[in-house]
Amino acid sequence: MNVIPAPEKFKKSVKVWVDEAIWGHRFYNDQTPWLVLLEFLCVFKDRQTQGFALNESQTHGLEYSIPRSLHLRKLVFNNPHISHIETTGRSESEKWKDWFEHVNGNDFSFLRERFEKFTWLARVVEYFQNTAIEPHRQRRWTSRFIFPHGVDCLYADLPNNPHKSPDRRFFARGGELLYLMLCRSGHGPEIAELINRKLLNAADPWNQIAKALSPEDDGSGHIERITMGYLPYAEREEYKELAKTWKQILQLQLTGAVLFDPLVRLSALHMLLYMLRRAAEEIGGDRKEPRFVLEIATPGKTMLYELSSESLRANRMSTLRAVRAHVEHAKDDERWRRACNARVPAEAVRDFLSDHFAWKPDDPVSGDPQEIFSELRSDVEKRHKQHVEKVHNEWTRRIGLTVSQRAVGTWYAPNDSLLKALVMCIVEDGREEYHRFLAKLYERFRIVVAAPEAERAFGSLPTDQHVFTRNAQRLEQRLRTLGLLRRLSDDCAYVQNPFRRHQ
Amino acid sequence: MSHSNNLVAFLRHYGPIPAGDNMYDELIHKEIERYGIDKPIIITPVRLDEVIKNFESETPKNIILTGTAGDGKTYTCRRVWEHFHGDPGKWREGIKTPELRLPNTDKRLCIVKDLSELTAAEKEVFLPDLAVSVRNNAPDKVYLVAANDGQLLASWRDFAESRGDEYIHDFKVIEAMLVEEEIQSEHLSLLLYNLSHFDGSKSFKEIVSQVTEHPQWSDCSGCSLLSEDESTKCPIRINRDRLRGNSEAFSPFRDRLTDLLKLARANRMHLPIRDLLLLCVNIILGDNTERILLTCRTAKNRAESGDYHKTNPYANVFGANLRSRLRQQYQAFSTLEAFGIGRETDNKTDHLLIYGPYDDKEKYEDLIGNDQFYGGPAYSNALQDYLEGERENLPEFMYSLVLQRQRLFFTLPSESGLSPWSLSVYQSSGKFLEFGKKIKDGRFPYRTVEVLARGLNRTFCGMMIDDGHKIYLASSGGDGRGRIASILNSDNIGISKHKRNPYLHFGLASDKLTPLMKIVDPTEPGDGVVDEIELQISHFEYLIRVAKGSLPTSFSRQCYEDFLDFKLRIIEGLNETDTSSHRKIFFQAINVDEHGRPQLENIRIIIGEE
Repeated sequence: MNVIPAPEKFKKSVKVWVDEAIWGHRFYNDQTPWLVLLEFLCVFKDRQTQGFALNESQTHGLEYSIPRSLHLRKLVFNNPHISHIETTGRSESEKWKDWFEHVNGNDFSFLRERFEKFTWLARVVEYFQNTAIEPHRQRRWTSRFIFPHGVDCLYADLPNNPHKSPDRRFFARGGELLYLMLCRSGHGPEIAELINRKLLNAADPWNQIAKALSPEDDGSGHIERITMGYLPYAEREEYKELAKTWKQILQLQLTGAVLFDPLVRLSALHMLLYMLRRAAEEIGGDRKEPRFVLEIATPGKTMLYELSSESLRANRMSTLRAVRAHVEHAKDDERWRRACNARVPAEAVRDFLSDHFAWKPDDPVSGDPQEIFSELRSDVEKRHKQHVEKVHNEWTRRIGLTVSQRAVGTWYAPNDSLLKALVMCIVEDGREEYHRFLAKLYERFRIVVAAPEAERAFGSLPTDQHVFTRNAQRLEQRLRTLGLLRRLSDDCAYVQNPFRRHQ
Repeated sequence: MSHSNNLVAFLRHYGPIPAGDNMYDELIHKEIERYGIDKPIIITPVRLDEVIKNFESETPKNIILTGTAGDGKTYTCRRVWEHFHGDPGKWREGIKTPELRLPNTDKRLCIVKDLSELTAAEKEVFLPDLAVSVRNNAPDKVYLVAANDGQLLASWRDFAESRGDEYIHDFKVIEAMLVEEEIQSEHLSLLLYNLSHFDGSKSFKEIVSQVTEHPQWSDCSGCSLLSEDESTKCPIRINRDRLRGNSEAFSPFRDRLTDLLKLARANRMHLPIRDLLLLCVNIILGDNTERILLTCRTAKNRAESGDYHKTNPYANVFGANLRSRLRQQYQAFSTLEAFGIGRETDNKTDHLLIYGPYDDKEKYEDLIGNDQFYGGPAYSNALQDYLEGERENLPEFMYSLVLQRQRLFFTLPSESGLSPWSLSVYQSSGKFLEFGKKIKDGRFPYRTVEVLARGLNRTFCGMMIDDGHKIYLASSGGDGRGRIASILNSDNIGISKHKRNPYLHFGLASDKLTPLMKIVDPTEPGDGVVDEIELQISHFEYLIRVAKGSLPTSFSRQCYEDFLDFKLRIIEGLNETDTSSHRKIFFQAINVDEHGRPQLENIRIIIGEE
């Protein structure tokens, strides 16, 4: 497969280049799937103004910028006085005066011309607070985001001091990777057109209202010339699958705002599949395909719980195994053999490994080649465990693919929103026969619910067939309760997509 | 030897006794002869006349019969075979695809009485022939095929995909016909009858009448349990009389059963003919013992020892005479069980059941006490103990109340001050049936519409709005799934027809029973329907309960999601004209005051320079 060389600049900035060499620069557990999508939209928007959105002639060394939009953000997320002042019942001018005293009045005087009444401003601010992204997470105000109604709702993730340069904690380049994947899918321009039409409509009234919360010249400027992250492969099936999902969702006859939730969940699922398949490639061996065995919620514990948590364990472990295998491959390199046979093997081995993995050990390492190698491996594993390893757990939980229970553990079990997103994506022409739906769930997302798919995923049935049959019955019941399934007879049921697709 | 009636022995075979012994079309003849039954129970299959008419015509089309097991697919095939003088002996031989000559055409009729009987190799030969015939109206043969829909679709799809475009197109048409419940398509020589699409309540009435009015009940005469004045202590005869009712005009037992079956249908729970027969037989013969069903001999034993609690017909409706594992195997029982009759109750009814003998003796006697077999006497001892503070047998007492509520559900006269439906999960069932009937008759059920509109407003806005005179369409903002929606999209949707403005309108779904709730925009071309949602009983109940201020958790989730999707589709479909200009944005916020009155606030934001 065609691997693109990594920019030296990135390699220099990390302690050791292994996670990034396998998956790209970079996946990061603090960046939730929603923030991946927001970061993606920021990149998209800037490239759109340049005229190249998802249609880049080459992605190497791309740069983009993101606005800081501090007025808007202070108003919505760092403005505790407004609701209190609004309820005092004083006159309009008193309220304005009172509020201007609490915030730096000069900065916000423009609002008085735009909002005839203070109450109206308070209503609007309250609206943006109520509809903010992931409102229950306790993040610094500079890392909180309003709902992306349009291009004017997009801005940068910033550190506590918003005038400093970003620390890349929540916009950690996951969105850049998503952008690169869609760019390289072969369907970039179509998707760009759909995004512009459905998601980032500047004429959306709430986008315009968000814009009205900033002065003509916001003054806080942009973060300029951000270099795009690194995605190793030029072409992959996963990019195409991801693009297919985006097209399927964006073509639904629904207002754009409703489409974000399924896009967030399914994009993350595709990216997780990419991570797992890449891991399997590094590990080698027969098992190339990951699997998510879902246990559909049931009052009692079933055999499927075991299989489900076992498949979760295997998937989680696979990234660590991939990292180990990747490092181990260095020993197949001719240069390793030569270094081991060099006059001063320690030095030669250290030079080779430092060069090969852009490794920067804390202390000057010494000892025999094996010891130096172990040192490297321990650095690599330690780094992997800090962030990349945690992505699977964090993301699957965020998108509703896993549940955790105290004293029981964590396993794959879908929530209703994820099920709905899957139906919105997979069910074309408005309906799909239930068994075929289950087959497609496996083909597209490696999700195992019923016996035929279990057989395909495992080679042979890993447990009693009835266990899977009952699991499929529970999913049917669940989809029925969600209004997503209709039974025609004892022999036949159809999954229904309640939303039509534009032809 | 004691007296016994062969009819009873014959009927038992229709009941819920171990499989293999049940009477399927294939086995029925033997039993009729064995018991000397002069008049078999015959329910004419729903589509038989149309099927025969088709094959009598000069240009017959192919016919595929689908439907749940027990709906009479094979039976229809046999009747067609007999009608066209097919050799009965040949049919009994069990040939899979018998053929015969049709009277008014040169074509031969090939009957496939059960597609699933064909082996894969046989299907490989048969399906292409059928597909060609359906597509081009083949000159020499026409088909009548009985198939399970899932299996039919799967085999046909495989075949079509192996053949390519035009066959895939045909397959899609057939799939759509099946799902959309269409009988024919202009492109294909095919009639597709789903035998599950019939009004089970009508067939049930027919079954009850054939069973309870069967002439061979007269064979009971001479039995020691039957007095000359026809009064009896025989539980079989008692149960038969209960189901039969005193007069043709109004029999609460039969009528409520019919209503339940209608509701089940509106809830898309289909009961095949076989299950309806089973239900009818179980009501009359159900016996809460190992034997499951009464015989003449055991009936005598029950009568002699007064064990009527074992033969309660009102509990037999729900299969109480079967162990729960066995009961779950029968769709009839699980479907009816879902209505929660006996488990649900209201204060009035329970008060009458517990304190009635002291508080309201006359009414108690009238409704409960006077039924010496299944009413008051059946639980008077347990009630006495309970009232005296005895708690040891509480579970038994509670269960006897369940039985009494079930009995009341099926026996309450129409004017009693008590509502039978408040003893079920869907308390507005009565209203639901009446609503559908009014729409069918072209009347406008204004008062109910107003209540539904109020429920809809509360669901759409997430606020306790008391207004039901128009629809408030509001968004929560963001992804639109927030519980509280305070940004008003539209408040000009009325609840009665209007020439210019969109309005809420009602029709009936294809089952002619379930109401369809629609939003109509008269300015749009065609019928102007912006979007619609089928109001199944659970949806209807949900809106009524929400309008009354309570929210049942058991089914609220699905309904809430359904209405939320409906709302999102209307918002997308209505495309309200935006009154904002390039320099000002207007929107309306909606809130409610403490009296439930919607308060609208116009908000104006200046977004550009003059």
